[in-house]
Amino acid sequence: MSRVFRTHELKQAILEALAEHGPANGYVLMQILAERIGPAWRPSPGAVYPALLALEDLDLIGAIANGGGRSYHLKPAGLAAVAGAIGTLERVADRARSMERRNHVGTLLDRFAATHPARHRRVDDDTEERVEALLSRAAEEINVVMDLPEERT
Amino acid sequence: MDDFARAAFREREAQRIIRRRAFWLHFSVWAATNVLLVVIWAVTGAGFPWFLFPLLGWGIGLVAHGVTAYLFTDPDDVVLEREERRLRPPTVDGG
Repeated sequence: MSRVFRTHELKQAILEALAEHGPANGYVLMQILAERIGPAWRPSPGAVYPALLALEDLDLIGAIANGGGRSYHLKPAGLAAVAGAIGTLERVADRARSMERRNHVGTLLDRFAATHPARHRRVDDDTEERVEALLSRAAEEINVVMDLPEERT
Repeated sequence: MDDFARAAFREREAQRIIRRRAFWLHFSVWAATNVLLVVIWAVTGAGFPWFLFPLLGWGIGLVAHGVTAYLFTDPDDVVLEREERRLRPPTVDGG
């Protein structure tokens, strides 16, 4: 499976998330990333925590004890770095969506044809005409849903 | 160390264990296969030691796997190890 984040993108995404959300602990940050990126990325403290430590080392973020956890916030250098990080979450989310396995319309049509209970019944001329008209209307509606021009049916 | 840090250390440790187990599984398959090849070589006249070619060829891959499982360190692991050393309370002798 290819990686959702490329080099440095996780750190940039964390900076962007902190800029949008404000101070947050590790779990909240991970939740923000997961919501923005979608199911193709498996949230992982083992990836996010080292990125937070690296950002702390670079003096881009700071951490303060908050209850039993640590709350992370942008430092002035981090705020300056956010400008270069804007758009990272959207770019990563786009990549993640392109990695998701999606069905083709043909798969749905094949499934419909293969499972319809009347599929083995023979039809007379009148029934055939009515079914063809129904399928033609369905094809037009699929074109609308798929944002295709009508003449392509 | 907070919950999030503990979860990160646990996850990294689990990944390390899985990586090392995968190497030993690979080693077992390599060893069993090559023992079989040596037996076949021995019972078919013990002539030219052809079994060395798969043994050494596959052995290169096995060594590479061992290096990634035991010697290669991910940059994230380096960061975590440094943090672990920083958080570890000093011992009586200062070590």
